[in-house]
Amino acid sequence: MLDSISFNRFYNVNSSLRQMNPISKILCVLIFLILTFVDSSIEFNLVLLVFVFMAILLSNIPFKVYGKIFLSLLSFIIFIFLINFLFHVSIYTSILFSIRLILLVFYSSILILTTSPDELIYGLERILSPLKIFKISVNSLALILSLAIRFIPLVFEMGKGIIKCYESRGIKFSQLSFKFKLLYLKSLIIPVFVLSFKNSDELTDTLCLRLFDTNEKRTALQIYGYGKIDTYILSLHTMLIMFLIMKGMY
Amino acid sequence: MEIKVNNLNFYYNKKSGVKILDLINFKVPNNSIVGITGKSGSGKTTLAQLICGINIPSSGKITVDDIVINKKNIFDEKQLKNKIGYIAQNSENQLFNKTVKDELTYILKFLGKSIDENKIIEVLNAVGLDESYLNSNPLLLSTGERKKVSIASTLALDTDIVIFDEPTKGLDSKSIKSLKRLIKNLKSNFGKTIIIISRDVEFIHALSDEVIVMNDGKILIWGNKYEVFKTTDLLRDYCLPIPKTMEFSSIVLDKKNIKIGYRDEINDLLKDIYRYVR
Amino acid sequence: MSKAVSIKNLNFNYDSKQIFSNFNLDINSGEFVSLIGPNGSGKSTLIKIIVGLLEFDGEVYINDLLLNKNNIKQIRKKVGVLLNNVDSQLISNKVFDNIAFPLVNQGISRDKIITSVEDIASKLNIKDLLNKNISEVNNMEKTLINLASVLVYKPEFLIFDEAFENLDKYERDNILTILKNLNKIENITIINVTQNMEDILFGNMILILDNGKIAQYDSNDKIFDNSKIFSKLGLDLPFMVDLSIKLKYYNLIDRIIYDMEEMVDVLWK
Repeated sequence: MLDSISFNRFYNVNSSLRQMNPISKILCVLIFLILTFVDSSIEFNLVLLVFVFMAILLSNIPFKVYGKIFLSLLSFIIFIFLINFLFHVSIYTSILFSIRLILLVFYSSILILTTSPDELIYGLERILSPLKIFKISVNSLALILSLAIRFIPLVFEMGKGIIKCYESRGIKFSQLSFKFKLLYLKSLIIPVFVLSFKNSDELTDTLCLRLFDTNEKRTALQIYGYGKIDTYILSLHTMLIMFLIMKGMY
Repeated sequence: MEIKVNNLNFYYNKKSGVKILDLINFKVPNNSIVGITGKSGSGKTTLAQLICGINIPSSGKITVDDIVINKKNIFDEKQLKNKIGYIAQNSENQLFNKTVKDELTYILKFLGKSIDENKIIEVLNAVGLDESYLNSNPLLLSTGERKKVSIASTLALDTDIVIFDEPTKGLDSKSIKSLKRLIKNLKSNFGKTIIIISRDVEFIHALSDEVIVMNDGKILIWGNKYEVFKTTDLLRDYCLPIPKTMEFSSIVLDKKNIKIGYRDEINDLLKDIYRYVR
Repeated sequence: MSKAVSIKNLNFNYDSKQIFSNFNLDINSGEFVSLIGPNGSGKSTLIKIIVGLLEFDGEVYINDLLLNKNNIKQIRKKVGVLLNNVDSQLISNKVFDNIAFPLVNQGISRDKIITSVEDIASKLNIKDLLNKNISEVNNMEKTLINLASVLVYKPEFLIFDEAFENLDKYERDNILTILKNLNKIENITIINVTQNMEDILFGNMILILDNGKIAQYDSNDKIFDNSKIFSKLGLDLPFMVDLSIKLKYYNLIDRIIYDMEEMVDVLWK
């Protein structure tokens, strides 16, 4: 079950989108996501849909990955149509909702598929850096994010290990009485919590010992270039905004 | 309880083609202690997990008393259910009950077995903890104490076969000595068949009857422990440690052509040296 | 003589249990100290106090600087600490970033960082790991990466708390030899907390703790001359030391011999 999240994870294949600077990519996606809510005309949303297709082509990722994403949305789309049918809302609205759903999910998926976790964190860190004025430590936030990404799989591994031990003893969760089902769950959750707290204690110690200080200037190890592709894509998204503004004026 | 491993191969991920275990063949005689040693990553834990049914071989088979281990037999009371006890490497991190007593009895409850209070106390004493620990909170104990509790909870299941995976990690010399006594006791007084996985060759040497040395997923050499640890050239070639008493006797043989005995303990070696130097 | 560690009147409680009471200790600079003792004797606690991870009563001087909130950062720049756990000392997903971490935190220039990291990775023979992710390396390699991240900023004082448990014997001996050389050639003070008694042969001083007190603190030779404390505390002696002492008792040899081949030659002349 947990492995199924993998179809929406970073897919390491070279493409123009891979070459983009993480900051510009995140900015484009943010612009796009905001714009999906601004205009509810079908025409505009179809234009956005075209953007999605272009992004899919530029991402160089096999269609079956996107197919899986679409399949996971299918049940939601059917649900939307059902609800709207029950409440006597027009087919038009249902279609609009569905398109919006596809736009949001696909565009953010493309971002995650074409950007490694480290790049995402770098991009978020830079974009959020103005928040330093409000005394929010963006350095720490970025670190917490990357540590979470590193440690959550380890913690799941522990849970899986315990389940396997039970299986080897011939104990099946489904065959247990309610009281024992609770105990079984307890035996999974408590060690996982204990391990997580232990890890965070130890990580804090390591941060102190390795001279981590949010108030100090830290060297930027990763240098991400800014190239033609960034200019092209950013301009395309900016044109979208212009287009909407002009449309609004008429 | 005799364990036979035949032509065992194991891949974690068939697609990647990386063989974790390659053509493993060996026998664990009834009521013996077999030590499995080798560098980290040589496949020892994977092998142990296959023997206790946590994973299934990709090809080949493992039999316990001629019953093949598979997903069905593990669940069958008459066949293999609860015949093999496995104490994992990080077992001391899997405690979760309010009291040590609960920790020692919860699996028995899951299995629907009756709980004998005296046996629980006996098992607790066997690992070197006294009765007063029964009401302690396992999560507040030290690492060494938690390790002992986790060993006790598997021993409480009274399985015929017990597998220890790196049991000496984090224990000090006193605790290691008492663990040695415990394992010897399990063999002689309780008739159990024991497999010990450890990178600590001194520990393996002190306890085992037979030793299996693994390297890169294959068995490098296996057999009677003295025969195995005598092969100092082979072990050195593979950068594997040799028990000190065996190393000493081998050097005496190589350099001076004198055959002093092969011993487990330093005091026995001392007697040999004394005898052959005079 | 300059002191690496000077502890005066240390008092420390944990969970209403008194761990250290009026504890005093002086370690001179340039010593390689093996810190041993039964579990629960206070070894890890002492280390955590020395590196400023626990609050305590008393005075602790590191490299002649008083340990307090103002000095702690300055002190830590000169001290390298490797604790016992492997995964929770790795901050980043990338091997290179982990080793570079202490340098990144000091704002050192990117070029200098790249050179320093490649340098230490060569010394520890892990240069081929530099481009990998942490998920692709095993426990032993993780220990070496952690060690690199501690050596990369060239501290004067190194502290290890059972840090080498995950290494196989040959790697362990290699690392301890590297540390022994660092200690001899560059006069780096080292404290190595260990349960493995063969490790203590790499140092020159032994500090034995028992129940929050110093049972003995002396040079290797002096401690082996009077080694009853080991059996009293349930500790093992290094094999060759144990054998030498017993053979000395039977007048078969007259001193401690550390090398097996040498001992065989001496016994059968």
